[in-house]
Amino acid sequence: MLRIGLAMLQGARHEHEEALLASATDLKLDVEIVYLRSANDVDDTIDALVLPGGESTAMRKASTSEGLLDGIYSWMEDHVSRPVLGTCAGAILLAMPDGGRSPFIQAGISRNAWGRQRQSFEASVEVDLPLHESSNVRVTRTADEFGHTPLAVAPILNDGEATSFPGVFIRAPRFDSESVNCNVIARFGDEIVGVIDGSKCAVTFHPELTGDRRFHTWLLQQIVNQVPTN
Amino acid sequence: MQQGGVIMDVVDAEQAAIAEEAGAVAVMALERVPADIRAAGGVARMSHPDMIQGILDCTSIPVMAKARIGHEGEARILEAMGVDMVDESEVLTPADPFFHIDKKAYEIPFVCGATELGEAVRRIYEGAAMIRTKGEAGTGNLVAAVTHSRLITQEIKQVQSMSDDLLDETADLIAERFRVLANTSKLPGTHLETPFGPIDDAMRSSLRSILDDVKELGRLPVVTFSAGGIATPADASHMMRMGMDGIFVGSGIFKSDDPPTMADAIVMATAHYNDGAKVAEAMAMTKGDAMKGDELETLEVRLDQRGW
Repeated sequence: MLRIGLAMLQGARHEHEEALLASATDLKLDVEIVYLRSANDVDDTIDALVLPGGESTAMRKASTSEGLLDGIYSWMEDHVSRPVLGTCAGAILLAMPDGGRSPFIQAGISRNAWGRQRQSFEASVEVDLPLHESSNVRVTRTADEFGHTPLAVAPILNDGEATSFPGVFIRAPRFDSESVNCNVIARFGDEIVGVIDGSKCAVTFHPELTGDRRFHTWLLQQIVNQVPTN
Repeated sequence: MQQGGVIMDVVDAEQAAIAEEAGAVAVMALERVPADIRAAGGVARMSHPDMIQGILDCTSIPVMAKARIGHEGEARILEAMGVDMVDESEVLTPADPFFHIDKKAYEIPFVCGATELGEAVRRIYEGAAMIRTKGEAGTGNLVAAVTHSRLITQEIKQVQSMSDDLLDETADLIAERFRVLANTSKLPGTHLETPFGPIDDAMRSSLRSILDDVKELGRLPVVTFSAGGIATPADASHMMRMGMDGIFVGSGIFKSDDPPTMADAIVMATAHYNDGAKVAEAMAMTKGDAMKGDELETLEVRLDQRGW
């Protein structure tokens, strides 16, 4: 049983959960999604972690009372090889951690750098990750005990190219190309929109809002492939 | 990307800064909070562009602003100014008794109020990207918010149990409400044009496909927040426990005795809604009184009855 931590600060959390379950079904892996709300929830048994998109200011604030972000950052420092997927605001949290910590990805990033909502857009981006079956896997939709249910995902932009991915950019942050010093795995034209630095993957768009699950599949495969370091 | 967050009404740059500092996921820029709109009486219109621009200029989180129901003139101004979302809101005096705004024709998204599923489906059909249950704004009284949330949740379950025939019947029923203008005319014959196209099989089939989404998803197909009467951290927690995606707080923060602390506490209670001890801690943070509030029976104007 793999335990995947999902930071429940704020943002598209239930959609990430559904994407992870679809990928796990595809890879025939047993996973448990662990809702992370306080630092105590982030323990050594967590194998991988997702930082969803949302408003990064709100997420930092929502975490202060229980030290969740601080706990997540400590966990990442203690378990360098354990994979993390950060989307949109989650990418900001990886690139610009609080509290004088070193960045977890070597890539500079600016908040809201595309502009306001009117400048938000959907576009095909080129990704360097293999396409997986999970695009077609359906999982039973589940509500939590209070009835919170994921939204529908956007249809896959499948124009026959295994490298194209439906990028949903909502008031997205922007990588500063000059400062990117790690693997680029997603591009929109000349723009870098996704990177992998060791065990951390950060994208400025929202893969959880599309039916293409390859980023979530990547996360699960990293756990399976990684050599235990402690 | 606002699920799990709090959207706060603010009337100036200083309040916007308090909201952002507290961890709001967006602010709603308006000249008066709903409680003051109620007290002032008269016609409530879109806020002055200078006021909205002042908040756009100093705020890094999304900025929403309200247009009157059916008022394209106001909505186009807000679009041109680049606000992040328009609230086509019953808190302002409705401009059009027949139709809401054709929201698909805009570059920016809209949020609209709803009291029941049919109303929500009509707004989504018209292009709303987000629904807020109306509640009763400016009262600090939670009962209308709970009423609308319960009704919509119940009706979603009802839709999930419907046969194809019943779904068609429901779509017809929902389409009927677009006939207010047609039914107003005393002339013989009918003319079924609306801003969204004629009331015909195409409209019914679009409404039906939204109902199909509701049936499959077990929720509205757009982000759904609770609004109208949330005044304390406990209220915010309660609405999150009812399955709402997030919370609008209008008068509840800046009509309380200590707005910065109330803002912090409501954000905390919304994030930790399922943890009674944390919500208790949030309640304990607040000093002084929450907003006074009103019994719904004493209101001269029921805002939740505006729009249809």
